This record gives sequence, structure tokens and C-alpha cells, in this order.
Amino acid sequence: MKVTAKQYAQALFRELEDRTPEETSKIIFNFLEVLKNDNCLSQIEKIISYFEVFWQKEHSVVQAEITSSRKLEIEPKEEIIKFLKKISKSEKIEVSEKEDKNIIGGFILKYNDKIFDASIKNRINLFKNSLRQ
Amino acid sequence: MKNNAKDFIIDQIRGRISDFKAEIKEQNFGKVIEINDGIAKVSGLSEAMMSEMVQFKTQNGSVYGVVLNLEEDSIGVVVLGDFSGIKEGDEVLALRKILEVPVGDNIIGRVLNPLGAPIDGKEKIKAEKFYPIEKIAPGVITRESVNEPVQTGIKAIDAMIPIGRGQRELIIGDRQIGKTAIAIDTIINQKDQNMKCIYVAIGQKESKVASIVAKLKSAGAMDYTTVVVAGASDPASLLYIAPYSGCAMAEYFLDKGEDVLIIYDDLSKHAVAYREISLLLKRPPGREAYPGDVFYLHSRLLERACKLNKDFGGGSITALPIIETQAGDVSAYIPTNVISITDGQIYLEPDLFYQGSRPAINAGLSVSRVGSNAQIKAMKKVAGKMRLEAAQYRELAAFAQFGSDLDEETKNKLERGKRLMEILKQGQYEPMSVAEQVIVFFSLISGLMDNIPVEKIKEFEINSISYIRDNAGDVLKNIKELKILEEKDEEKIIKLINDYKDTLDYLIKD
Repeated sequence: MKVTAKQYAQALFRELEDRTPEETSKIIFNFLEVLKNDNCLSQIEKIISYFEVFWQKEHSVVQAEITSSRKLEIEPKEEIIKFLKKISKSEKIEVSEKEDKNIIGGFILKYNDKIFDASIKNRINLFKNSLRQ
Repeated sequence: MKNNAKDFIIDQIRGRISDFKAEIKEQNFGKVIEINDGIAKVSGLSEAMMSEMVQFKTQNGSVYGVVLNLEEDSIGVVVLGDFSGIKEGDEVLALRKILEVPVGDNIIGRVLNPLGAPIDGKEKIKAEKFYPIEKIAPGVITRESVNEPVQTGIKAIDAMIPIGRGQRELIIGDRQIGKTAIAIDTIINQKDQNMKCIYVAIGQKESKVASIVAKLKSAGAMDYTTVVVAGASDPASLLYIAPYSGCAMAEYFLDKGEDVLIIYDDLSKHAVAYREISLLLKRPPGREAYPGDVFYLHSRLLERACKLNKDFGGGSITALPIIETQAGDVSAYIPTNVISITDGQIYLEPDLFYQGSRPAINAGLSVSRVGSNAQIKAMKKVAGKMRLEAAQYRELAAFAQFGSDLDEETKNKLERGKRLMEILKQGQYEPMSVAEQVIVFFSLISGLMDNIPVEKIKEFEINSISYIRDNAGDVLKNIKELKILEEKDEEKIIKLINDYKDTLDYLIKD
């Protein structure tokens, strides 16, 4: 029977629940042995990405990316994170920042598979379309 | 006055500027994992719906796509249009609406692609409304049985295989045999018949479409016709949605209580396009490598043809799907499917075509299951007897090839049958009105043509009709308006035709 990367990740995730650090490293070592025996070491990257998904779901961690035209000040950044906490109903948020001059102003917020486009460029486009009609 | 108009425009624009609110909405997005042959696999988009529209953001503008597969952690999207600019990792936005096309009265006379964009070089369609391309067909309560005729103007069809408004009649035959010609003649004959026409070209050569549009234009048929084109060079996704979007445009007129004629030319290419998409989406192939739901593909399309009752506007959609067979094989997968879905078929035969009897309709294998209720009374009166004559002739003709000495009655039957076959021949782009058809058939079954030589029948037919038109226009008018053939008119026709025959010198003398 073929085991998918997702199934490996799920098995590992369940096995690691409520374990001490020593146990964890032993389990991971054993897991790698299993993969070696199954000739599935090539799938390790996929397994890790699935594992991350399970981990974030379980611990309700939200990964977010904020794109802005220039580096954000502390205050607006806090505002955005507060807003993100409200709409995603999650407390733990990992934020990465990106700069993009093309969006002119405002910000684009991406988290999970949602996008929140509050950039000036988007607004101009919307305005253009509404005038065209 | 001029100043006022200027001010008015400026005020309007000012109003729109101050009313404008940039609504920033939360949107669902995903990333392209892989793309090949117009099929993209997209991650994310956890809220995507079946047949939802998505937008691919590429470096040179955005391209649209339709969701066709929902899998565990990715979705399959067919790209509508040019997919060469899409790269792995490109962003995909869900638009949260089912694929829809612009509809309205201003699509009439236009040539559009399946997404409703003009390809005739004229201005963009200003849509009154948008209709979803996939829609559940009208239910039992809204419908009524077919009771009004579609006049195709083709003698063989109107007499022997009548089509009613709201019927689905398949046109089937080999390549290059006149399937499209029947459809185009039918469109041309809908002038002043209170009918909107939609011609959907699926996988046709652009040159063929161009000549059809030119022909429709010169016949004045573009005043009530829309052409939807998914050409041979368009991707399979556009071919796949073309008939549905044509049907959505027809439904706009249906909802207004109008009658629509829609032609799908042709559904075998549509099935091939769908097979391509299905195989690329890794759906399991079945018979002839078509996917399992290829029957549903056509049945849900043709079921949207309907005749609504008075309470629901009384409109109708008449569908004329076309199927191309390979070497006359009607028992292949797609032809049998569509034959069983439709309310009858017009079967075109190569042998008849090469013998020169065109349109090459095989009256024996062609049927119309509901249309005979829709024939006008006058036509019913003459067509019943004609069908009988035709059937007897076919039987006797096969039988008479073996023996030479036949009795008088059989000889007469054969002679009349020959003239009947001659009458059913008709050139392309020469549709004939019902009233004229009734008179031609009446003069045949009442024996008025028995002493005309077979090779002169065509000439006699044309001239006798114009003689009647000149000398007794009221007979034609009566048939057209009252829809019945009265006995006094019958006598008049007999007298007029005999009068006309007296002027001829080629009659057969006993």
C-alpha cells in the first residue's frame, strides 16, 4: 500500500502530541528510520509542509504577510495585527513583511489563503472600473 | 442647450465620484502549482465553488478560468483564453460568482465569443444583465406541449419531419453533406416569423463561420440573429462552454416570453473538447475515451430547450443540435446519446446526396416525435397523404427493380413517387413559405402533376406558383392567415393550375 506524504505527516503529528523534548527527538529519529525503510526520504519536504499545516491548525497559528510601499512604523503595524486578530479569531500570529513600491500606498494583507487588498493601486483600479461603466 | 448637456455630463461624473466607495473585501486566493495544456492545478482557494470564475494574475494582465475539479488540497481550473502567460506560483483570486455571460437585446446582430466579448470588431456589449451559463432546465409545471410550428422553409422537413417551437431536433450526417446548410436555411426563413436565432459554432473553421455570417447578412437574417463562435483555434475550454453560453443568451429572450431558435454546430466537436478537458483533469475515460458524464453533458444542455406555458410567459427555445458521424455510423457513442436525448432526428444520407437529391434527407430514418401536433391544419391535410405516397414509393421502387411487367396501378404509384422525389429537391438558400408548400403538395397529391415530365417538374413548380401568386393571391393569403385549406380554395387551385397547364407544350399525352 502506498502511504501519502499527508498520511506520514498526520501520523507523526499524532505521535508527537504531549511528549517531552527527549521523547520527541527519539520519535523523530525513528520516523526518519521508517521513511528510510519505506524508501520515502525524497518526500520529506512535502511531509514537513503538511506537518506545518497540521501544527498551525492545532495551535491556531496564523501566518501572515504584510506588503507595504515602504517600511511600516510600529503603530500602524500594531493596528494591522490587531485587526488581523479580530478577523482571523486567533491569538498567535506570525508576521512577515515585504516592501513593494508598485502598490503606491496602503497595504496588502495575506493570511492563510485569504487576501485583503487595501492598497492605493487596487483602489485606483476599482475607481477606474466604476467610471468605465 | 449644448452647454446644458455638458453640465449634465459633468454633474453625472461628479455624482459618481462622490458616490464612489472603494469596498475592500476579504478575498480568497491561491497559487498555481502546475499548469499544462490549459489546465491549472491551484493550491489554497479553500472556499472555491464548482464552476466558479477565478482570475489569474499574470505579468501581462489577468486571465479568467473556471473551477472544474475540487480535490483534497488543490483545485483543477480550466483556463478560458490564453494560458501561455501563466507561471507556476502566480496568484489566483476567487471571484465568488458562477461563470456568466452578458445578455440583452443589443447582442442581436453581433458575433461574440463564448464569454460574450465581441469578435466582429464592433463596440463592447453593454450588458443589461448577466446570466449564469449553467442553469437547471425549466421544470414540469412551467412547461406545455409543443403546439406551434417552426417553419424551416425546407419542403422535405416541413411536410414529413415537422418541427415545433420548443422541440429538440437533431440534424445528423457525415461531413460535407449539408447539415449546416439546413440550419442556415432555417435561420434565413425565420424572417418575420417572430423568432430570435442564435447560431453557436463549436470548433468550426473561422473561414466557414465568416462565410456563414456574410450569407446571413446578405439575406437580412442578422437583424434577428446572434452568432456565438468558439473557433477551431480556440482552447478546448471555450469550445466546452460555448453551447451553454449560447443557451444562456437564448434564455434571456425566453424570459421575455419570446421564441428562440438555437443551433449547436456541432455537438460532436463539443464532446471531443470535453473529452480533452476531462482527460487532462485525470478523470477516468470510458467508452471511446469519453468521460462517464458525457451523456449528462448533452442532456442538461438540450433539456434547457422548452416551451413554457402562458403563466410563465409562453416563450420557447427550439434547439437544433448537429452531430457529425464518421462514415454514416449512427451507432457510435455520441450519436446514440444525442439521438436518445432529442425529440427526433433528421438523417442525411451520402447516397442520396450523390444521387443529387438535396437536401439529402432520408425520410425513412428521420423522425419527429412531437412536431406533427404543431403543423398547421392546411399542411396536415396534404402532408399525411404525401408521407403515405413517399413510403409506398420507397417500397415499390426497391421491389420494381427485379420485375419489369408491372400492373397499371403500381406503375402510376411509381410515376407519382418519382415526381414527389423531384419536388422534395430544393436548392440551398431557397426556403419556401408554408402557403406555397401547401399548394405544391396539393397539386401533386391531387394528380395535377401526373402528366408533367419528371425532368420538367422543377420548372413547372416554380412557374405554377408564380402563376397562382399573380392570379389568385388571396388563396395564398387565406392559407397563411387562416392556416386551413378550404374546399373552395382547393377548387380554385385545381382550376388555376389546369389553366396554366393549357399554356404548356411539354405535357405527356396519353
